[in-house]
Amino acid sequence: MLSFIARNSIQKVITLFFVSVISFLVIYLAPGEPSQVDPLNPKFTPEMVERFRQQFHLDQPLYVQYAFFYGDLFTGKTVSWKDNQPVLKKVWERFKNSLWLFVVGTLLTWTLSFPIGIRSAIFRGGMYDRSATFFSYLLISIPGFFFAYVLIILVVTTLHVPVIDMETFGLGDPPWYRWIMDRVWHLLLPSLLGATGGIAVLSRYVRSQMMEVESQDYVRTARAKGVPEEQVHYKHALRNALLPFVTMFGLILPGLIGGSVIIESIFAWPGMGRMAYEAILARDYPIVLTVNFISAVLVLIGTFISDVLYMVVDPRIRL
Amino acid sequence: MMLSIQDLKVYFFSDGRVARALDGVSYEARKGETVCLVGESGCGKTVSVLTILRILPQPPGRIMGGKVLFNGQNLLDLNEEEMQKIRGRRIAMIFQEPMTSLNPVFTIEDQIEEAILVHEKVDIEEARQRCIQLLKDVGIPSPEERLRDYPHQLSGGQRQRVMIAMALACNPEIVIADEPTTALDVTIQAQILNLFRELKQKREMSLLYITHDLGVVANIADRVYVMYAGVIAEQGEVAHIFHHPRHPYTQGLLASLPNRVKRGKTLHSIPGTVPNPAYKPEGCPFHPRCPDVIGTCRVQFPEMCDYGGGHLSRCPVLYER
Repeated sequence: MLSFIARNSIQKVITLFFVSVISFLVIYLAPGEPSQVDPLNPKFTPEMVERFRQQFHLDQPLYVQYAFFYGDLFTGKTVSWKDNQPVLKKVWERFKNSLWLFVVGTLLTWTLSFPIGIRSAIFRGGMYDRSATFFSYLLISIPGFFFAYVLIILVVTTLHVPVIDMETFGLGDPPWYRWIMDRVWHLLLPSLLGATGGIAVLSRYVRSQMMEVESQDYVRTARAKGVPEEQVHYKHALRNALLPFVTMFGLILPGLIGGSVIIESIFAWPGMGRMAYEAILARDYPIVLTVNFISAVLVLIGTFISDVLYMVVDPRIRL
Repeated sequence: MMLSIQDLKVYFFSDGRVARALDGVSYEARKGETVCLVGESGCGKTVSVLTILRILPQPPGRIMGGKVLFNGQNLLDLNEEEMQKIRGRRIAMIFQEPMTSLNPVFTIEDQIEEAILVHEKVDIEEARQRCIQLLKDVGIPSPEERLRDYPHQLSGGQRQRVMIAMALACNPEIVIADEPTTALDVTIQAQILNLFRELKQKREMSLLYITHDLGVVANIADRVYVMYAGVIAEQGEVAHIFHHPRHPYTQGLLASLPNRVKRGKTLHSIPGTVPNPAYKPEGCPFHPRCPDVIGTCRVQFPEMCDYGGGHLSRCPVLYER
């Protein structure tokens, strides 16, 4: 176990190094230039552009730029080129906003998908299964942005509640219960929308996984022992059907930083996804690279958690 | 009569076709008796025993008629809850594939104890003691340590012993073993067969043993049913079947045994293959492969002919000769 952790950590540090190099190269190779040094930008004179170049180390060779950037990142000195704010502070602010969406969305996805998928598998071919299948494919097929506008119109016209942004503009300092309700209304639609696609897809996976397991010999053995039907499904079958999802659970971690560009844009939610998207448009390399690096770290941590969880739940796996 | 299957019909419905997996099968097992069900793959042996326990997947299978009498009670009339009380407690089953028949995520102890705990109100300590005793009975060395093992840590033979221990957990009146040694190598097969014989003597239970291996039949059976394409072709005491087979199919099977052929000669084989249950031939299902076929075989389904002493054969042609 300890040797696994040691080996794994070393491998992951090496991977991270390559990720940092490649993402740096990709940004460098991408067309376009930071708006501050773009010769076509009428706001800046050639002298100013030259000054920015020096300040951002853009006049240095690539490997020096690389060293400067990651040196700054690890000492926490990276600043955004756009507004000269510390990047980590900006990321943290946005991260706190995205966290709400992420937590509620993930909770909805994982708590709803499993009951839906399991029930479909147990009563396969029945009315419930067929309607669940229909709605899954419906939700997968509807474009997110379209569905979002339909829901906004529906909710705003029937319930008369505010749904755009994180809180009502000019709310001031209301009593705590009104503040909570305001947050809930604003969270409802974006997190629901973030979850629908996930529920539709995940419940399908759960269904097929569960059906696969239900046809295994050991399920028949359990039945032949006289085990009651619920126990056959929820103990013998489900325990095995859950194994692959444990791996998936570690991999949702990167979703923390990605956010959802589309949903955050539609609802004007000041989250990570939108910040990263705007940073890419402005070629604000420090923000883009920082977000990229953090998500790489989260992916690696996620896979590590998956490995460890798999070992905990599946006695056949020994690392 | 402990277990009596009467005129059982099970059909499979899929893709608009009907596969008559069991076409009026009757067999019975008396108390303390070992009955063997012999036949090629796909002749309906497994379907018939899954129907006894009512764990046949339905759909696609459907029970179209017949009775499964267990101590005089028709199991097909019971509801699911009553059936659960019979499964594992009074009728237990051992499956073919020990590799996949044990749940990979639970320990041996969990799985054997569960068989006890679903049927009997005993505390966990007593269940554990019985578990250890069962593992001893089926010949697993140092059972206390094996309790904490997971199935993948055991060999194939040991897993099948665990399956047998699980089946015996509640002292069932009859144990159904569905080709329990097919997946094991020959030396382990012999050990498991010996174990069956030993356990049967000790526990006075009936054994319904399914196999396609006539060597195994000769080894343990009291009586034999030979199945072909969803019907019983011949039945009788093991000595009758082996020394005076009265059905061309049984004769063919026996002639195909390697030890009956002189060294260097070609092994006998029955020409053709088992018919697909969805496209069974008219008349006697065996007639396309039969060396003694006559005109009526092709049109008329043969009746059972009685040779006395419980020896019956579904071949009027040989009976009249």
